[in-house]
Amino acid sequence: MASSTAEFAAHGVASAAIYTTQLARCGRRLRLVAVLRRGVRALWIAALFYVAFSFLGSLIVPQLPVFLAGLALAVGLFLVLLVPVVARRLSPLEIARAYDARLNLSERLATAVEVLARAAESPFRSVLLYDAWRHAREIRPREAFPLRVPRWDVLLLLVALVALFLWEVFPYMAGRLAPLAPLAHQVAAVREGTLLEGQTPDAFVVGEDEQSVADGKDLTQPAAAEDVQQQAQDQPLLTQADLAQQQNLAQQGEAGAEGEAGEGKEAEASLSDLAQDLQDSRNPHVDQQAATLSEVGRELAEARPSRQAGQSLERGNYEQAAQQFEDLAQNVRDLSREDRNDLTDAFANAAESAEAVDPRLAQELADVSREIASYNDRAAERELQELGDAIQERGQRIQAQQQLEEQAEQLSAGAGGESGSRQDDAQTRMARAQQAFNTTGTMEQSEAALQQDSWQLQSAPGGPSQGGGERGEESFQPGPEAPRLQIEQKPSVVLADRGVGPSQWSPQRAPVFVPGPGTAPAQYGVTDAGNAIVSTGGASHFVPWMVADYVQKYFNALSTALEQSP
Amino acid sequence: MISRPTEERIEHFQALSQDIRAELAKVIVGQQAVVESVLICLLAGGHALLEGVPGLGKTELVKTLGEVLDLRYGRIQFTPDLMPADITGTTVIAEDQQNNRFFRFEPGPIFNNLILADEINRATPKTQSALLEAMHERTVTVGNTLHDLPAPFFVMATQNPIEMEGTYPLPEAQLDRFFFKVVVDYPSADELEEIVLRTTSEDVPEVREVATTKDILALQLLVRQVPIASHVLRYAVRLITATDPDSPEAPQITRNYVRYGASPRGAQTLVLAGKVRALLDERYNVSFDDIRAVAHQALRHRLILNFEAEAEGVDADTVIDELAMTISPDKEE
Repeated sequence: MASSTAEFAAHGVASAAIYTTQLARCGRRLRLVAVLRRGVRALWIAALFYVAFSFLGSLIVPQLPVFLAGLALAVGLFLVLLVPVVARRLSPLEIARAYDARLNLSERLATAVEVLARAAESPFRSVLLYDAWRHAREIRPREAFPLRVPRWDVLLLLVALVALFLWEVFPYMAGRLAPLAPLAHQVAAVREGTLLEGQTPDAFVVGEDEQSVADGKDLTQPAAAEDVQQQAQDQPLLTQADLAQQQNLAQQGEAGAEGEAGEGKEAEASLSDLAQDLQDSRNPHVDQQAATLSEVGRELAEARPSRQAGQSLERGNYEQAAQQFEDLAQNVRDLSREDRNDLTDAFANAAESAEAVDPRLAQELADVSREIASYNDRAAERELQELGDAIQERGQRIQAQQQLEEQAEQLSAGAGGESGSRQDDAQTRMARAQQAFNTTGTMEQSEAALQQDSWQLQSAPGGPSQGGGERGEESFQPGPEAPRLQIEQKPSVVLADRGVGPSQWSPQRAPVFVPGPGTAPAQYGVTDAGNAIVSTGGASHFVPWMVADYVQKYFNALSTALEQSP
Repeated sequence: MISRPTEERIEHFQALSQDIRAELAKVIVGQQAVVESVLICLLAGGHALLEGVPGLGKTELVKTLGEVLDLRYGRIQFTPDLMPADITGTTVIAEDQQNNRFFRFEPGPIFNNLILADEINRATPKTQSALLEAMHERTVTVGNTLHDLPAPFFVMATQNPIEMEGTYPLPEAQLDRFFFKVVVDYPSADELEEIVLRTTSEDVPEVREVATTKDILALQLLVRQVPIASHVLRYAVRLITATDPDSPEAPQITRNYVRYGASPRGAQTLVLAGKVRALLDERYNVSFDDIRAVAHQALRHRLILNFEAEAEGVDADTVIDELAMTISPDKEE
């Protein structure tokens, strides 16, 4: 020992510095570990505080947006807990004591630090310092203090994150995915060979049509009119497919008017038949639905907060009513206890009144009533927004139906009194019908664009024709029948039942697009997230993945047919 | 710069303590803990109370220690009729050559370096108290004269815990003056076999002197120079404070079973004994382990337990164990 201490003493005054330098090296690791541990602890404390604060705040003062205050306090709490550790500089004695305790060094390091700091010279100073230095140089800080967080802190952090997810992220995601929820219910209703009832192409029909087109077979108006009538009878409520088919009928009527304008009574008879077809295809349930909405509006007008929306609904101003439901959703947190009770009763009564005719709307109303009664304002907001969307959608259908009825009346009047009406008049009425149809959504717009294409093809040289028999497999002649066939016998709408406008949802993986036909190409892709995406232009819609194949076949058939045409 | 003498003194300390142990081991079989405790008392300059049933070698240990250390050794057999003057000495009338009579102090057996107070609890409290001044102040007052005792001065007392009849338990003040109370346990079977073998053969083990009075005094001085960190010192103090049932820091076991806690001498003992133990362990500082290791010997005779403890069979060692577990070195700040 003597030679070793002598060697150590040869450093003279620097011997103490050597020792303190070693301690400083060890101290950096100690501080890092302390920051890590405190950071994790501060994180779970802040997260739990935020959740607890937001939860209690929503119970005590539901009319105030406490989550922002909770967030600010949680961040403050996190910083208050963490900053002192980050800012604190460990003294050599603290470092020495920590390593003494961790490495079981029998308080060698700490005693040496104290002896160094003492003014009085101790006979043991040199031997003690040498002994401490000898042990300190063997220290491996990374091994002594690995970057490890106590198990309880990790566990509590996980608990806090789960609580945060359940409280904040999950409702947010649920809100984002809410538009897809109806799809999940409708998947069960998908039948083999169809997309959604009346809305989707039938695989067999697609194949049959391809063959028919190839054979040059005429599959135009008569079959289409029958098909649409049958569908209208089968459908309890007006669907997008109804509208599409009715739109097609309108086109036929216009086409008939255009093509037969100069043919006197034949044209008049044709227009009259088509007008009759339109009348027959009219869905009688639309009137019931309008009446139901009016009744719902009356019930809702009983409560002060929903009075304006109810009155709008009662007057048939669905757009305004939808907007007022949106406004009510924004203010639901500020409702007093009495208003809540009134609203709860009003929505419950409205749900009862809609139950017989429109069960889904009734369910929406009941959901709103329940969420308002339970002070679940987030959910109530969401339900009110969905209710607004549903009202708007139904209103558009009703209005579209009403406009189509007007068109049918005009066609009927044209057939009866204006046998020599001109082609441009028919085209004008066609444009109006098309405009009415286009109000139902983006996808419809694109389909309308496709129909415009078909209209142009139909107007191509060769003239309008009821028959396609002149087209043969060997010599396919471009004519209006092929594109019209696609429009008439294929549902022209592929749309998820989620209201107007593109969904906010986006697939996890980029879908594989299949270019569609037309001037506004429709595209199709399937993702692994459980939904298929169908897009036209810049807008996107989603359909259940189970029916994705049919959508693809539909577009493929359409593309093939259009590619074969000039 | 390195202090050469310090290094040499430390090496000398360790060599000497090894030699003492080796010599004692020639006579005393086993009892390592007892030997170490006695050694700590010796090097710290304290007195030891050895408690054990007869025949465990208590007296033999002290006697052998006297031979090994080349100290003046005196034995006092405590009996009920022993008088204080039999211990301290007395003033007698003497005559000089001119037949002039005068008072002369005749020193008693306490005027030795190493005193064996055998069966100390058999003497009356009056006689026992004759040791009080000697043990603490290392002086004896006879009449109006104060007599210094030789240095070093050790009292190694023995007592039998089972023969209660005709004994006088040591008063608290007397007990507090003992540095350690060492409990001598039965030897193990192997040790007993060795003891029988040694004591029944014709070979009588001989020990040699390995240390002088001067050596012992030098070692005692060295022990007091061992540094102790402030947080270790505070730990020792907290241990002592925790034995006081009236202290706010007293744990539950103290409040339940302790009537009077350890005196400040207990803290001094912990630290001083810790220093000796550190040097014996070839360290130059006192650790928490040192304090804990000597806590039983240093405190068991300083804790006065209450009736509940006696009724429930809780002894001082149990309380000390609990205190050592309760008082954490890391929680001092």
